[in-house]
Amino acid sequence: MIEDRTADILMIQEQPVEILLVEDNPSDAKLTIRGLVKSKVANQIEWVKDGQAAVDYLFCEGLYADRDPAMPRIVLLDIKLPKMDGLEVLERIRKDPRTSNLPVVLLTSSNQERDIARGYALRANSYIVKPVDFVQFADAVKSVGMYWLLLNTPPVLQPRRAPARIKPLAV
Amino acid sequence: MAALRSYPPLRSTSDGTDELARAQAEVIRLGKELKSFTYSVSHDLGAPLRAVTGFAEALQEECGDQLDATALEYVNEVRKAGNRMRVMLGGLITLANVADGPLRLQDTDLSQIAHEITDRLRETGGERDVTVVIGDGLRAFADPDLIRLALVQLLENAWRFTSGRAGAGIEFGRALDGSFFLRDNGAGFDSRYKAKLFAPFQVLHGEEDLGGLGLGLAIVARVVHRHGGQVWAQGEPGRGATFSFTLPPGPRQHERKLQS
Repeated sequence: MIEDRTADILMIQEQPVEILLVEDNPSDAKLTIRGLVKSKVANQIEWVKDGQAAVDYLFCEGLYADRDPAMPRIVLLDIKLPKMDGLEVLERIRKDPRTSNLPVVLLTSSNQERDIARGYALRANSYIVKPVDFVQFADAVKSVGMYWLLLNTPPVLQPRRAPARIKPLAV
Repeated sequence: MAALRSYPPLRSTSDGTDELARAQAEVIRLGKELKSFTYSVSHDLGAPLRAVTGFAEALQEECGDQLDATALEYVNEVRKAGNRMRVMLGGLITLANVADGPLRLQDTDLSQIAHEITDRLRETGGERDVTVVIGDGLRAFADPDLIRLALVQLLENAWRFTSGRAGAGIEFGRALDGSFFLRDNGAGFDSRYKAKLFAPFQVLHGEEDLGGLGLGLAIVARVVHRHGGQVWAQGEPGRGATFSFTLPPGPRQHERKLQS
């Protein structure tokens, strides 16, 4: 118990990740991060480059087995990704009780009706087609961040591990 | 991305029907491949283009104080070229969508659509003194979204090519033969190039003068052709241009046309 509570304190000090950005295109990723930081919407952004890494990150597996188990407040998810595509990642997120309510915004260059329909069928919270115009792109990133991090009330997510049975502290 | 394949030439056979069916199937398949080729080219180019303009802007914003006037001018040229390319890409995507999407035919009020586009041009098209005359009750049995797209191109062209002209005028109406026309008294064009006007990326005026990017009329032609109509142009340098097109007037005529 003591270790767990130490971890909690460390977590607060290290500042938890606010946004998980899943994007294989480094230019788009850097421009997205720049937009979020510059507009002061978010500072703590974890960037992973493929679908498998996104799943590993969220479920603390593989490379991320030892990461701070706090969930990001929102996932920005590209659809066209190496190894596992974004829609499959979304499916995995929704199937797992730990992440089933995690806000996921599909941020993609595809405006194909089939992808949009599948995205919503898998309970994507938003579907944003990346504008080719950079100014509009930066605005879109900022608006998404503002809405999901500042305006929206997030769901209460279940912790990573099965909750330990803690007796209420005697006061 | 779809690859464009070549196919063996047609051979004559005793019974030509198989060959014909095969040729038709190949045409359809080629058409599909070309569509998906255009679609992925125009979409896949979006990300690198966003990077070019995005990082040019970041350079200007974050390192601008370290750059001298010449360097800043170069960065600005990069951004301008990127923006031109973005407009062209947008046109290509529109062109691909016009060819691709379903045709939702219904009774369509072209006058109202033209009024809406003109109102928007007056709001966003800068301080201009242009007389716009739109005929009343211009209707056709057509896809309103596609018609809007075509009219946007035609009206924006007319708007652009009458700029810098005192007493600029634009008229949208219907001729006695039933065809629709959009006439302006702007820069016009040399009728020797009439055939080239409707092909993609043909720019008769210098891009810098009037800002044309060569896809507008290709979009117009594709919209009209998808409705089974015809489109043509008349003009003279310095004396304006008239663009005309036909559309099926009503559902009954349209059905008859499709059946024949």
